[in-house]
Amino acid sequence: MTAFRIFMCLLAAIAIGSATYVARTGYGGASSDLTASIRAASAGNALNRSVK
Amino acid sequence: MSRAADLLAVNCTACGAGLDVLGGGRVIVHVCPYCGTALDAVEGYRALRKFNETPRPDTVLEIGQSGEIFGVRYTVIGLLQLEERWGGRTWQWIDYQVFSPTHGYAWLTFEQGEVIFTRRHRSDCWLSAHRAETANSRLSVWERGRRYVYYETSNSRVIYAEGEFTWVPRSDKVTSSVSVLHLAMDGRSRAEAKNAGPADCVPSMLTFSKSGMEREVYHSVALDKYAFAESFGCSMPRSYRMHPLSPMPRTPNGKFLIWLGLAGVVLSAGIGMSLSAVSGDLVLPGQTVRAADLPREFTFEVENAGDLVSVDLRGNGSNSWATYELELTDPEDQLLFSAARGVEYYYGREGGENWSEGDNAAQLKFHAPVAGSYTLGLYPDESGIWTNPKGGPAPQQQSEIRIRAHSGLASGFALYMLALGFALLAAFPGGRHLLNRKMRMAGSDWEDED
Repeated sequence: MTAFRIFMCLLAAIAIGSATYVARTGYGGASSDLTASIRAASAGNALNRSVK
Repeated sequence: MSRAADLLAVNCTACGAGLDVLGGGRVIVHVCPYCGTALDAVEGYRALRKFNETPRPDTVLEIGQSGEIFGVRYTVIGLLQLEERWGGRTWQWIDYQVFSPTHGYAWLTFEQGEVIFTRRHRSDCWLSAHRAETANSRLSVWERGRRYVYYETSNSRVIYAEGEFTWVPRSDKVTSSVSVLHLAMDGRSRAEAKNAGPADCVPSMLTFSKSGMEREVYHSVALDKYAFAESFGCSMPRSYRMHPLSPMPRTPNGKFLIWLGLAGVVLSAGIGMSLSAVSGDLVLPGQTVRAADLPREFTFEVENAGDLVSVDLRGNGSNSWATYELELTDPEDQLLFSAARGVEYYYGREGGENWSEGDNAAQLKFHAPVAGSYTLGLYPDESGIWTNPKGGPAPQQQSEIRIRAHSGLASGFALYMLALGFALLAAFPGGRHLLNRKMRMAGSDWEDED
């Protein structure tokens, strides 16, 4: 097995592992309209808190 | 009839210039490079006719230059300038006749940065220009287990000649040539290409050439141009266009990449689907609310900040629809979003077949920004029924809505994206081959009829 093949196998394993970790956080699963609205609301809340 | 084998030089019988004899016993015509007279090499070099009608072209090789081709020493003994005219355009190129005392005669042609080696080929295979022109689809022929596809037809004539030839070049004769191309599924490694003989080379081209009643089949391959230039001591003309016979590079680890890509697709998609099926924690058990009792508020707890939460709605009507306004407030009672979702379901029978549309379900998915207690307000918006004008079941109003929520969900999105990446990886060797094939065939004169 060449070094290239070992490297590619390792890369594939790392990619699958990382993607599985990300998938468990639910990344990409939220409705886009809600994500934008929550982000704006959260930013507003943070602003309100800093003003207080 | 052949000329004397020990003949090394002659004088042109027309102009007296000294001419080297390099071409072996099968040469029948010697065209003097000084005066352009074609001399009969088998009958005392008597003058046959004045040949050249154009000035001498610039050439890459000169008569007498020699070098190795496939481990055999060849010497340039003649050169021809050929011309093709079609559709108001003119193409000109030069063929060099080369000779080896052990391997006989062959041709060299410089095209699009490649040096093409052509030999006469014994074959029963034939494709006529008429058949190629009248075919409805691109023709292909099989020869010695290889499939050759139609590439081009050309009608050329000699406009300049000098040196020795095993046939009589004539400027008034048009040669019709049909070329077919064989491409392999994969290229060869450099070591394989280096050790390959002319018959093993891929890609290769067969040319079915007809001049008057004479028919010949030629086999052409591209040579290693760097080795050729070094051996013959010449410089190669450059070109940025791909020649159909350019050596096909092998995709390094092509099969490995295909298998790795396919395995990656299966693994990523499999893990993605299994994670998508995980339902998480039920934070709001299913509750059925009558439409008449709305609006209502529901409270649920989210354990971790960033958790993916899903709110599922399911109606109970048929041939009807209803939309709801949902408002979510966070543990600090700040409104996070206000969104609308609808449930609808229609069914019936038409043309003897049952049909349905919609599934009475709707869903909201969001990431809870902080852990804590969230409040979801459910407000009725609009609703209605649909009556099938062609008859059928009576509509049933959306009288109830069932709501429930899960937290800590996973999403297969990242893994599906990764599966797509793996699919591209698996497709890379094949895609590279297809692109390479397309670029090679770009010079073909075949046009598919729409």
